[in-house]
Amino acid sequence: MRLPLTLLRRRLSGTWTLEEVGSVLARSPLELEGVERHAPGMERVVTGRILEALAHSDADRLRVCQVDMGAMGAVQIVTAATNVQAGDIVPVALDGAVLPTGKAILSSKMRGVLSQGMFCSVEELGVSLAAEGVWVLPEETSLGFGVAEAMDLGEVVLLLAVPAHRGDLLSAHGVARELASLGLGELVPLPASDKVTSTSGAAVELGVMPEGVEAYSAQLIEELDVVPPSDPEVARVLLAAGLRPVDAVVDVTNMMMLEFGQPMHAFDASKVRGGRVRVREAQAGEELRLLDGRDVRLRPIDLVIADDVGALALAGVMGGAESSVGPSTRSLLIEVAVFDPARVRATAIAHQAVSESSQRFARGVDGLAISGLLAEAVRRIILVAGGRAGAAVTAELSAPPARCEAIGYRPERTRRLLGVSLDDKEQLRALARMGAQIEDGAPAWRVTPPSWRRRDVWREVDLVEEVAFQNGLDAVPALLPAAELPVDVIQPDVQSLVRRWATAQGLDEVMLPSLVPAGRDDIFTARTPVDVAEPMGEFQVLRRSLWPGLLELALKRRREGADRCGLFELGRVAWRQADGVREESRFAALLAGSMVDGPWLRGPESLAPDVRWGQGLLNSLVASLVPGALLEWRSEPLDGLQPGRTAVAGDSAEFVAAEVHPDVLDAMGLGGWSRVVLLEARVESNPRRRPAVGFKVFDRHPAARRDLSLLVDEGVTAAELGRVIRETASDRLREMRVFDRYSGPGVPEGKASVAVALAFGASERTLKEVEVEAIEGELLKALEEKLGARRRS
Amino acid sequence: MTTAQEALGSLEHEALLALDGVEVSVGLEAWQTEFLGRERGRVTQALKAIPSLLPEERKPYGAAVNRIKVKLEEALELRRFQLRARETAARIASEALDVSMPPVGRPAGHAHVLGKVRDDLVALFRGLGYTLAEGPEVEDAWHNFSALNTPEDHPARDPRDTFYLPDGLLLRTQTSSVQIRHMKAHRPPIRIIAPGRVYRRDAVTPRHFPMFHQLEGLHVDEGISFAHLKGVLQAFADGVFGPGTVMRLRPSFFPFTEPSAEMDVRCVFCGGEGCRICSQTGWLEILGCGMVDPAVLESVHIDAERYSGFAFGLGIERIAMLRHRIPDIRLLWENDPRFLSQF
Repeated sequence: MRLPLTLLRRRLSGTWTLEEVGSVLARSPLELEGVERHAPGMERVVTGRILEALAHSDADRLRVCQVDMGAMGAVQIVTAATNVQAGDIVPVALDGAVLPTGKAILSSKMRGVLSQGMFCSVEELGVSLAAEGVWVLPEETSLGFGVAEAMDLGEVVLLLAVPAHRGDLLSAHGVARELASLGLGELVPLPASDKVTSTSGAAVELGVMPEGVEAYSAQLIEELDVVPPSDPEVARVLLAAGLRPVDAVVDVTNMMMLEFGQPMHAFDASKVRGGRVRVREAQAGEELRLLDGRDVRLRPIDLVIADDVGALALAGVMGGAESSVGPSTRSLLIEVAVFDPARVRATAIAHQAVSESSQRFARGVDGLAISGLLAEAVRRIILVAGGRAGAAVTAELSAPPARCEAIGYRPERTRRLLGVSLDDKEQLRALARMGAQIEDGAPAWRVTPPSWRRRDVWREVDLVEEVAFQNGLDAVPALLPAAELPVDVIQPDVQSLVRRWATAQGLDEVMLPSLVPAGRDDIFTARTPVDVAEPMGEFQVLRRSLWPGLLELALKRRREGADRCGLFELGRVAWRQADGVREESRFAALLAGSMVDGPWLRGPESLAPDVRWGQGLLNSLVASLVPGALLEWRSEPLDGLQPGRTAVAGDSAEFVAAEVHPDVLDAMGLGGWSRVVLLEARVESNPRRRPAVGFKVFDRHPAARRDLSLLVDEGVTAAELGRVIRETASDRLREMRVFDRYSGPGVPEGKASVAVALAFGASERTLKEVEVEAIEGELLKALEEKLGARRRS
Repeated sequence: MTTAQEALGSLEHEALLALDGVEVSVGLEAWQTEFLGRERGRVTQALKAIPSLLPEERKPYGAAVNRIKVKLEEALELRRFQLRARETAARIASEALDVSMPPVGRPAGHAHVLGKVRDDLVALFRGLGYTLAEGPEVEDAWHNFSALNTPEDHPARDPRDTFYLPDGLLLRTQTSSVQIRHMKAHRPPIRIIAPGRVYRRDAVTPRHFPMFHQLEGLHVDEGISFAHLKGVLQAFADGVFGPGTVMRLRPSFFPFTEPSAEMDVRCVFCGGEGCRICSQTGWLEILGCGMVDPAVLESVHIDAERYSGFAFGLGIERIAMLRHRIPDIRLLWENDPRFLSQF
C-alpha cells in the first residue's frame, strides 16, 4: 500500500518523525518496505551552485554559467535569468528532465554555446504561482541533491506491506491506529457517527438486501453545482497514493477510502431508473458496461447494485459507466456499504476488475462506523460541489454483521506459549491498547475484540499474538529447548555423504531445473511424464531422468573447449504410474574426456573413462555408504545406452553405469568425445539406523594363493564364474578376483581366456599343499561341469 | 722373499688394479667372485697353497694372505660405497622433475553452493537435535494448503502462482507440507527439518526462479514456547553468520503459525550502518517463523491444549546468496564452470 504522509498526519496527531514511524512499524505486522518521494517532474532537477556567470559573447541577454553540482560534477548552463549571480544555489533541470509544467529539458546550444540544462523558477516546479525569476535556494542547501529532497517538495509516500488478514490496516486511519496502539502519536477519532435515518417515501428506496451484504447506507445530494475538476492538492495526494484524480466528487470518495479504508461509490441519481436501488444477485447473462469501458457478462454469483431496469454497478468492485458521476450530474446518490470479502474477491477476479475498492472489501472492511463516514462524505462533497443533503437510507440486513463475540482468554496460556513472565496487568493493558473490551474472570477472561479486528481476532491464540506483539517480541527471551538427542544423531546424512564422496572423486556438482520440456527425457525412458496443467515456456513436465540435463551441460562445456568433464547432480525424478505419481531421489553423474589430469602424461586416450571406470566409482560410492557392500553387476539393455556397455546392479536398476549409445552421441553433437559415461544410483536421503556391525574373528594364518587360468565360452561371465567358485569353495575361500579376460589371437574362436586370483585358508591353521590342491581340483571340476570351463594349459 | 710371497704381492696389486677398473656397482660382483669367492676365489686359492710350503714359511704366508683378504674386502666396501654414491647422484640428476607441473590424478570437484549450504544447515540443525524428514514434491492441495490453515480463496492457491497438474494435484509451493505429512505419521515429541525443492510460477528474474529450495523446521512437544523458537533461531544465526550475530523478530503473518514473525539479522555487510544489500535498513530478512497454529495441530489430530510447537521456513537460495554475495539467482542455475569452481 502506498500511504502518503499527508494522509497519515491527518489521522495521527502529535509530534512524530518518519524515523519513529519506521522503528515502531518494526514492532507491528506492517512492514515498511521503503519510503518514496513522489515529486513528478522533479526527478532530474538537482541543486547546484553557480560558480561564475559570464556574458554570452554572442547575445546580450544571455549569460553562460558554470555550475557546481556537488558529487555530480560541474555543468554549463546558459540562462536569460537576471535574478541570479555567482554564489547562488539554484534548482537545475538537467538533460532529460520533464518539468511539472510538461516542459522537456534537453542539452542544446544557445547561440553557439552549450547549455546542459536550465535553471528553474518556483512556478516551473509547480511549487507556487507567485514568485518571478529563478528560485534561489537557501545558502545551506546541499549540492547535487534532488530539489524535491532538498526542499521537501512533493509527497512523501510510505510503501507498506500489509499482511493478508489485516484489512483494517489498509487506510491512513488503520495505520495511525496501529501506531498509536504501539505508543506513537495520538489517533484522531473518526467523524462522529450521525444517525442515518431512513426516510420513508424518499426519492430513493432500498430493497431487501441479499446475503453477502453486511451493511448498506446511501444518501442523496441534490441541486449540485457543476462538479468541478480535481483540486491540485488533492490530486497530488491521490497520485502519490497511486490513484487517478477524476473530478472533485470522485476524488472525495477516493480520499475517504484512502483515509478511512471504506470504499464509497457515487451514482448519478438521475440515472437511477425508478428511483429505487437494490443489491441483488445478477441474472445469468446480464450485461454491464463498467467504468473502465469494458462490457462484462455477469454470473448469478456476482452481486450488483441495480435499479428497476438493470444493473448499475458491480457491488464493491467497480461502478457502471452509465450511472457514473459526470459534469452534467445535478444530484447524486452516495453509497457506503460493506460486502462479503470472498464474494467481492471472486467477482473481481472473474471479471478481471480488481480495484482499490475490491481489494479492500476482499480483505475485510470494518463497516461498523459507516454512518459517520457517510455523513463526512456528504459534508465534503457539498463543500466542493455545493448542493444539499437529501434523503438518507439504511438497509435492513438479511443477516447480522459478522462475528464480534467475546473470546475466552487465559493469561496463563499466553505466558506458557510465549515463554515470558508477563503478569495479568501487563496483558490487560496490551489488550486494552488493541481496543478490546475485557471482562475479568477466572480462569479465563472474556475479551471482545474491537469491531475492526473482528475478522482476524476470534480465537484465544489470536489474542495471544496480539499481546505478544503489543508487548514486543524483543521482550521474549531466547532459550534452547531441552530435548534428548534423536536416535539417529550418529547416522550420517546420506546426501551430504554422497556429495562429499563425489567431489572427492573430482566431480563437480550442478543444479538443474526439474521442470523440463515435455519430450526431453524420451531418449532414456518410456515412462509417462508428470505434466503441469499450464506449462511456462520450457517448464513443462517433471524430469524423468537426470541424464539429459548433464548431457546438455557436457555439450556446452565441449563447445567451450573443455577437454574433460565430470559432473554430478543430486535430485528427484518423477513419473506417472497406474496408481499415481512416483518420485525417486537419485545421484547421477557424467564422465567424459580423461579420468585424470595431466595431458602431458603419455597416452591420455588410455585414461579416457569407459563403463568400467563408472562401475568402479559406483562400487566405491556404495562401499563408502555401507562398509563392505559390493555391487553385483549384470548386463542389461537400457534405452539410449550402448548395448554390451550397460552395467546394472541392484533391484530394478538401482545402480546403472553405462556408456551413451553412439547414435545418441552423434545426434546430440557430442561426437568429439568418443565415450561418455553415465552413472545413476537411487539415493535414499533419509538416514536409517543400521545395527552396528559385529566383529568377526579373522584368520591370521597365511593364505595359500593360486591363480587359475581358464578357457570358457565367450558367453560365460565373470559373475557366473565367481558364483560357482564361491559355492564350491565357500568355507575355504578367502579372496577371489577375476583379473583378466581376453579373447583374440592365441585363444580359440568363440572362447575367452579368464584369469582368476584365489586365496584359500582355514581358521586356526595353515592349509597343507595337498589340501589346496584338493580344493583346486574340486573347483576345476565344478567349473567344467557347470560352465564348461577348462584350465588353460 | 719366497716365490709364494712374491705371487701374493702381485695378486694384491692385480686385484686392486682390477677393482679400480670396475665402473658400475653391478660389476663388483664379478670382481668379488674372482678374488674373494669362497670356493674359487684367488685369495682362497692362495690359501690352498699353504700345505705345499715349508713349515716355517706357512705361518707368515698364511698371515699375509689373511692381511690381503682383509685389505681387499675393505677396498671392495670402499669401492662399492664410491660407486653407489656416484650412481645415486647420477640417478638424482637424471630424474629431477618439475614438481610444479600438474600432478597426476583428478583434482577434487566442487559441491554446488546450494548443496553446500544445504549440508551446512542440515549439519547445524542435526546438531541441535533435529532429524531429517522428507515429503513428495508432487502434493495435494490438502497437505500444501488446507491442512496449513490456508483458506480456499487464499491468493497463494491461485493457478497463476501455483503449478497445478491436470488431475488437481500440484507441485508443492513450500516445504511446510512435510510438516503435515510428518505430524500425520508421528506423535510428539516431533523435531524435524525438511530441506527440499519447491515450485512457484514466478517468471525468471534476477531474484526469482520458478523452482527453489527451502528448509523447514518443526518442533512440537509439551511446553514448547516462542522463547524456544527464539533460542533455536539464535543458534542458527550464530552458526550461519558467526557467533554473536544480532537478530530480531518482527511481527508477521502466515496462515499456519500464530504468533508469526519474520527473522532479521543485523546486516552482515555493513554491520547495521545501512548499505545497498540491506536497502539501507541495516537488517537482512532471513526467514519466516512462528508458533504452530492450533488449527494446524487440530488438522492432524494433535491436542493443541497439551502440545505446542514452533515452525520456521527459510530459503536456501537466500542464505547462499547472502553468505556469498551472489547478486543474481540465475547464476545458481546456469552451472557455469567459472561460477561452480568458486565454492
